[in-house]
Amino acid sequence: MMADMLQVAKRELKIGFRNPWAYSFLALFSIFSLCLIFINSQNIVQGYSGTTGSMLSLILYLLPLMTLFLGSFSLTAEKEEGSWQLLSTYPLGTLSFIAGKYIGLSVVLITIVAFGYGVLGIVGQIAGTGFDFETYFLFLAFSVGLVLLFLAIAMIVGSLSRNRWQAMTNSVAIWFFLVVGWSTILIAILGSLPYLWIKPILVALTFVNPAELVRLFVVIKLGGGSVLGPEYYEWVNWVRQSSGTFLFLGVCIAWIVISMGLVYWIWERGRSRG
Amino acid sequence: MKNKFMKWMRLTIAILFVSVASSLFGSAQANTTEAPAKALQLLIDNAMPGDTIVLEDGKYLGPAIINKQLTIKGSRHTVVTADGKPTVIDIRSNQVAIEGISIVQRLAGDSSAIIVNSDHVSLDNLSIETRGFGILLRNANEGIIKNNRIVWSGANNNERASMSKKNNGIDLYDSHDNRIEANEISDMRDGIYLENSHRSNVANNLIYRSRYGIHCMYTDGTRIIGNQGEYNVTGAMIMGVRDAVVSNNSFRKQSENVNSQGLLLFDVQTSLIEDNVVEGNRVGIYMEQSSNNELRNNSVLRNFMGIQFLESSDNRFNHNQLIANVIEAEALESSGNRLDSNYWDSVQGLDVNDDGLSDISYAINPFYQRLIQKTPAFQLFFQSPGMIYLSNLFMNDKDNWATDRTPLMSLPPALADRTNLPQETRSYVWIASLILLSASLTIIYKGVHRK
Amino acid sequence: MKKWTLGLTLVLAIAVLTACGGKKYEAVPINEEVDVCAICKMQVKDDAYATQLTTKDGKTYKFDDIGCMNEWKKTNGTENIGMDYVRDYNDKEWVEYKKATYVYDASLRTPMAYGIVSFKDKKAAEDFIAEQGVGKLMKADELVSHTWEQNKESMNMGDMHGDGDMNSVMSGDSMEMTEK
Repeated sequence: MMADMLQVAKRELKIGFRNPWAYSFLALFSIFSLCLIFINSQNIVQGYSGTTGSMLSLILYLLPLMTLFLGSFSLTAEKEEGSWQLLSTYPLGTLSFIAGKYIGLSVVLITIVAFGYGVLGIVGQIAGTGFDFETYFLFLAFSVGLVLLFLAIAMIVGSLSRNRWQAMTNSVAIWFFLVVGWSTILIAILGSLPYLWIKPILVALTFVNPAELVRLFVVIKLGGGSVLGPEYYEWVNWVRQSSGTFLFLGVCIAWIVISMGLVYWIWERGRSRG
Repeated sequence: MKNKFMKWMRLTIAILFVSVASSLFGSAQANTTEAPAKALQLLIDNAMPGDTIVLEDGKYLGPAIINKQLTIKGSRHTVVTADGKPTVIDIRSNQVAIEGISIVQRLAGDSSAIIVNSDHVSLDNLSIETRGFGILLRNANEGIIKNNRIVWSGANNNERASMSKKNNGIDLYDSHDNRIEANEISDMRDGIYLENSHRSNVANNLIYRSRYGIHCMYTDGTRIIGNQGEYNVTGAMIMGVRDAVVSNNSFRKQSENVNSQGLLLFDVQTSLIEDNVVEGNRVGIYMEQSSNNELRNNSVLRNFMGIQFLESSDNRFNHNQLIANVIEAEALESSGNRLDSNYWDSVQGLDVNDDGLSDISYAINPFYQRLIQKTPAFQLFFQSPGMIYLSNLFMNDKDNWATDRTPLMSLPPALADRTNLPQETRSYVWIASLILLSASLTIIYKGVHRK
Repeated sequence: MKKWTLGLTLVLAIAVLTACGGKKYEAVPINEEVDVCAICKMQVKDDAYATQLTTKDGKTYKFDDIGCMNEWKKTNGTENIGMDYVRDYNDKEWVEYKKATYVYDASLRTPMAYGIVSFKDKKAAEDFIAEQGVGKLMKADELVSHTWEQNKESMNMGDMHGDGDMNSVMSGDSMEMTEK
């Protein structure tokens, strides 16, 4: 089973790096973050400031979209090109297939992110607008976390979509909902609820949105937690300690496991229906 | 567990050391260290007005009341304590001077190291360790308090205490025309507290890890110049003040507390706030219910929120530099303020007539501020990507927003020093980025060429 | 999609339960780490001068001085207030605003210099006046007609250095503030 999974992952890697989409995202990500570094050509990138704030926003726009596209397309391609139908005839477990897909895709995506940060770090150093090490590391971890969480969503999207076009529409809709529309929608809905309900519901829903979850985690770890105000003071104090890191990792793992379970269920159902 | 163990270890080592030392030096040593502390009051009572008392190194016992014109001198190793009395030294005569000695107040609460009830007193180069107040001035005018070091005594053993258990470093009430200069104050409640005390000159002090660095309540003509504040809840809290001058101060890294600010102005009128640097604070400059002030040439750098105006009108805000703040400015219910010629690093200006000023104005969107004022829980959306998008949707009544009519196109070169952070060595980032780049290239290469 | 709705209903249900459980008003403790006065923005110390009010929709505002709470009521009205509390001067117990007894004197030092302290019973207030030698005893309804003037100027006029003019300007300003 392990061997099957690795086989699928290796295959995914090969397909992934022959996919022109991967390189266009790689270029896009590198160019945009370089632009930010040059705009902020006087200051060291450290802590929570205007520079790190806008980098955070850029990453929040770009990485989820990239992950949703690459992830969901990879799954729909299996269906469209008929390779899944072929694979189904082999004694290949659905779980091995899905886990292999997830691992392979995450290696591809993390490689893109690593390339971007590598370029960013080196050019930043040369240009004299370097990163503080802790901030650099935190941003890298933040991006990887974002990719892994959105990859889980992307696999659900890919499983539910029949073809590439459907996957793209669904991806954009989900991206818009979670990244761009989230606060607008929540403000509209929660604004009409009684005052005392707003905070608990908001906190609960934040755990449901990986983009917000990861963003808040980074803001707090960058030392910007006080900007969230007295309402979240206890949360912030807690997240700043290592207990917060463990909570975050726990939530991420729960997210990925639950989504994979869902994906497994969808494919298993499809397989039995043949 | 580990802490407890270390404590025991330390204690054991200390006991060992003391016992070895005492057995080595025997009774001769005991004579000098355990000599009874001399009563300071006795020396004062025996002195004539105008005398100078020079204290030797060693312990002196207070409390002492100085009721004649005297000068008391000594060294750091001259330590005056009060053995549980609320005041160590009580100055009741004019023209008293105390120089160079150490004072320790171990009693917590409303106790103090020194209380001054008289005029023209000079306190110079003292080292004060206290659990209550440091220096109290009550109805004391035209004094000079300079080069003193005041620290909350718990800080030495890494104790933690809530702010209400601490007291102020230098505390003035009903005391006018005093000069408070070049003092270093840490871990107190408020570093320098002025209430109903006018025309004080507070200059070149350094205050850190306290609640409010400098705190003015109902003072007129206060001059706050060249002070530094770091890691306080708020660098300077200026409240109920008229005709103050706040200039050349630097307030950095007041960002830990949910209510932190670099500089807070509340009910401040006709004052000048000039040439200050506020860097890395939660809010750089916060102003509420203040009017007719002039804020100019301040550097507002890398704060979570650069400036925040609430219910403040008719102020002038010009030639300030706002750089790398997460949110540059918020203004609510603040009309009639004149903003011009500030440098906002996020402004994409357009200078048609080449006068260095943008012809496109810069307006401050109050949407977020209004939202969180109504529902503080929405602060969770601070600068979330969707929030930026949403704010841009609410552009109606833009004419009523606080607006810089003529933003500066570029940063004046003379200010480059002030706005830059010192560059540190960041070789780790070099190594890390090289590893990342080579690793990703290897994976891509291997991935593509794997059969 | 079903899972989503289920989760949302669950969250809503919990929220409803917690919200309905707390219909009775209760004074909340002061947290010096985060609480600032809703009016003057100073830290609210956990001392006898702290006051608080809870609106009918459950929002709690804390104040460092009863004068600041009075300012809030003047700006926002009192119709929406569910309950308001002051503290007993001696043991810091929370007392309903209406039931407390108050002592005013311009010379009493309070955080925002309004000079009013509160007591849970009349006896304690009278003892305080006897001990201080000054003070005017008031009930909550008498506070309505109180001037709410802040003591922004020193008591010892003899020590003022030619500040007579400024003094009159100041009191004029504080009148203006209280009437806003």
